[in-house]
Amino acid sequence: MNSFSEKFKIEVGEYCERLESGLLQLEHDPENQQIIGEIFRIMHTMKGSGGMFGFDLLSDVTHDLESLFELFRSGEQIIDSEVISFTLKSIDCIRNLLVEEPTENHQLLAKTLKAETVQQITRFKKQVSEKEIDTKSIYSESSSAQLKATYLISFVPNEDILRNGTNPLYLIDELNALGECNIQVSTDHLPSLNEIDPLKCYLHWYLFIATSENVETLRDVFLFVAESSKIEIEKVSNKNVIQQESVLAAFINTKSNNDVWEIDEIAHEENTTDINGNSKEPGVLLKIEQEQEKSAVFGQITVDSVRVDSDKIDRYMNLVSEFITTQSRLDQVISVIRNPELTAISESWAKLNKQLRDNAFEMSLVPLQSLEIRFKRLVFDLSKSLDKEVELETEGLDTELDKNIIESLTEPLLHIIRNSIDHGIETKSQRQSINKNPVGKIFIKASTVGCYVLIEIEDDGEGLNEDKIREKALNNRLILASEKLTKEEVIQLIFAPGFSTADHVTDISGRGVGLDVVRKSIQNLRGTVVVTTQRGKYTRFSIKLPLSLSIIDGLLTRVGDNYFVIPSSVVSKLFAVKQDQLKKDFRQVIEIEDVQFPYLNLREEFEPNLPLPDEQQLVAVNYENQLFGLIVDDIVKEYQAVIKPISRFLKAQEIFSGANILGSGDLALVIDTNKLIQKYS
Amino acid sequence: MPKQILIADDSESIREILTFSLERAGYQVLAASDGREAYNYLDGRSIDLLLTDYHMPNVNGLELISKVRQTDTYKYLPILVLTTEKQGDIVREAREAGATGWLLKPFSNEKLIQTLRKVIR
Amino acid sequence: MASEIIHGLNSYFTFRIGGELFAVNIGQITKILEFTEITKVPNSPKYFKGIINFFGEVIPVFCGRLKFGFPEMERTRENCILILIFELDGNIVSSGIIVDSAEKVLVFEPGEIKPAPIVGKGFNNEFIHGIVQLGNEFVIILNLERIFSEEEIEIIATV
Repeated sequence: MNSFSEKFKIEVGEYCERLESGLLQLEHDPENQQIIGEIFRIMHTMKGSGGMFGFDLLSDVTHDLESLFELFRSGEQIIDSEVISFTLKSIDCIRNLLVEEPTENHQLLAKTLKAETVQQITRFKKQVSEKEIDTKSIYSESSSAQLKATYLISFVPNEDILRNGTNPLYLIDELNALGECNIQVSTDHLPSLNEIDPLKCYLHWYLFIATSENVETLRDVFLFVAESSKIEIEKVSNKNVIQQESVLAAFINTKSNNDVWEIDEIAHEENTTDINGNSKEPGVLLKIEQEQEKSAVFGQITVDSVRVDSDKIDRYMNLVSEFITTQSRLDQVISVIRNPELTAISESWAKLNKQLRDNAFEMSLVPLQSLEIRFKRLVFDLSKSLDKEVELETEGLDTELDKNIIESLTEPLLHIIRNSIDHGIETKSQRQSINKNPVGKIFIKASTVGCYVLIEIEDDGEGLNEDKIREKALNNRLILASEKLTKEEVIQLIFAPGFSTADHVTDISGRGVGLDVVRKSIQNLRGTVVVTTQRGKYTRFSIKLPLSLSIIDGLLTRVGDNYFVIPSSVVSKLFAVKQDQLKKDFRQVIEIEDVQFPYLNLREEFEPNLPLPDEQQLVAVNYENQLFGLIVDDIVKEYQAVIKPISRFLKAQEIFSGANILGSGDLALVIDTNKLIQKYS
Repeated sequence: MPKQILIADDSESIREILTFSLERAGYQVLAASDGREAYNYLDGRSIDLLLTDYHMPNVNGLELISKVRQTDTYKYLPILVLTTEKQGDIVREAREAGATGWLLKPFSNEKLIQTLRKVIR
Repeated sequence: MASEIIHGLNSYFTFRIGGELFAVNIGQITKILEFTEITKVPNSPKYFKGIINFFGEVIPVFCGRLKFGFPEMERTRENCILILIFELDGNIVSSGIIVDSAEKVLVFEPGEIKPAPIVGKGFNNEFIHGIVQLGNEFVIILNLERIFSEEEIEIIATV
């Protein structure tokens, strides 16, 4: 059972996200019936499934929330921001109520939530009575007899209905539960006793029902027998006339004349208060509408994607990695055997392998969009609680990152946004007094730059105060008074451990987690974060992250006895260089084809004790918008490299992002060219 | 004495969820992973409803229904077919084979019990 | 490859580094390898010898002598690499350590293991889980978690 409730929990998580996203949209577009309908349906689904999986508290609270949204679905009431805030809060509660064994606290939480929901409902009910709107249009479900219409259902079962296990009495019983019934049995077709086949059904029924349910619901009762039996449902009256025997009798009498709709006239005569003359049930039309509604519901539920356990993706990625590693062993063997046929097979296999890898890689990519709702939610909640007005603008959130990176990135990003709203953006009145747009703005922009993803979070707040930061850093002994730092260097001090920019710790961003933690998390992802700012204008956090990649296209190179992989994505050109070309000046610059660029001879850095060979290879890589030369002894080949993590003990060793197992079983270290160049230049 | 429901479905998760829901609703449940296994349960014991999947290995849902309808003991047993297709062939075929009704997947617990109550009490 | 620490065993694997007799719980050893080629990692601390391909996993290898403050020696045929697993911050971590020679497996009852005495020798006391007297010799049972805890590594790395 556990796996079910686990799956269900994931499902509820998704529902909650959809609710959040819908609610946030409603904030701007409160009368969007489509969204309200969707919210209503999700509440309804959670109510239903919650019970199915044993989360009774969930179905309990969503029941009331469903009723609340029923008010808006009818269109009589317009959702307001109080309800939106309230519902958002409720969603948090819902997440908390997703426990198999609720404690007293959970019960209490549910109870409180229910009470609050009822309060919300009453608030609208009051509004309704104030406006003196007829209540019946709103409380359709809990409606009184006035709302009921009366239907006549004639049910002529197929004689053989009993043979497939149907018991017609159950259907009549079911109908009976839907409203007030007057049931008449016709025995007209009953044969004489000696002719009776006990396995046949000879009875016909005429059922009058006064109900608030619609025709479809009534028809659904007979779902299983509709095709084999004759079912007719006709509206007798828009009022409950079930007690009025004369009407019913008249109806049965006139029915034989096929003059069905005149009976309503009779009802009208007897019930002059009935103002609604539109008695004809638009049966066909109604049916079509209902069908459309149903298919729309299905359209929402069936998504064009399959949910896969992320462990499975990881396992899949691992298998693909193993596959590629095996491929390189095969290559190794083939290079010895030199069988052309085998070589051809291996080559086409390598192509498939590459496709498989790309496919696996795509699967593990997640767009930043997946975090958008959390961003929006945070901005919404925070600006409310700080009484600031903040607008979120995003760009390029379709940029994709490895899901593992996204997971680890969520908290840091939220923390930065929290900071920006709390410390960056001024209050409304402050903004007004300095002629700024009273509505603050958070701008999140993501883009892919080479093999990196750049995420920028910018607020148009007051900017960072360099002097204040320096002062604080001095007080906290992060720097010495004698230290001469550039403005940029001072500003980056906000990432130092033990630094807090807030004059007093607020409970928003002062949660004991500073920007140092943000920087550390990003560094753990092999990324960097810097801040730029202008007083009174903006503060911008720029986060640079590697695209992920447990499998990359790489250039296998040799330096001394060791192999190193340079990611192909950064490689621009390859040149053979002779030792005398490499100028031995302190700048270490080489000129090739009239272009000068700085270089680093890996042989000198990694194997300083070995003599330099006469000819080496220069790999020109992109580094901060320019070319940088990495000099290796040999280029072995370009290939797909599966990056295995090197031990956490080597984290300090950031110039290598991992290791690759070669076909021979030897290891090649994967170079992070940016880190390498930074470290040595 | 609680009613006993025989379910036949090759998906373990569907079996589990059905068992869970039905037992919560107070029914007794027998679960079979295909038509053949389900048919073997029909050995004279008291069964009040058969809830069978349509696609199953070995003996599929339709075959199972036909076979059940040919027995003496279970000839009139109410049978519901689980199907994902809303309209059309499956439902018609199932009905022609002798099914009492059908239940569309996915279904909620509510829907399950509501549908069940059309055929047993 | 074993990736699970087996708990609750009273057997200990003993080995020698720099003449001293050390031991780790048998549940924390997954393999004893003959000395193999180790891929150097440029710019790493001296006691960190490099990485090896251990059945498709990349595993770091440390030099036991340097780690525990003994001078490095020429390699001998007796040298081998123990593949250890232990828990760090809730993660199962594998690591190799080069020892002078592998000895044998001994059973110590919990009562036999005495707390680490305060000894000098430049050997960090916190590395020791306990001491067992074996004839006229002491067996030092190592506390792998402490030895490999990141603070340790970082402290050494910055020295």
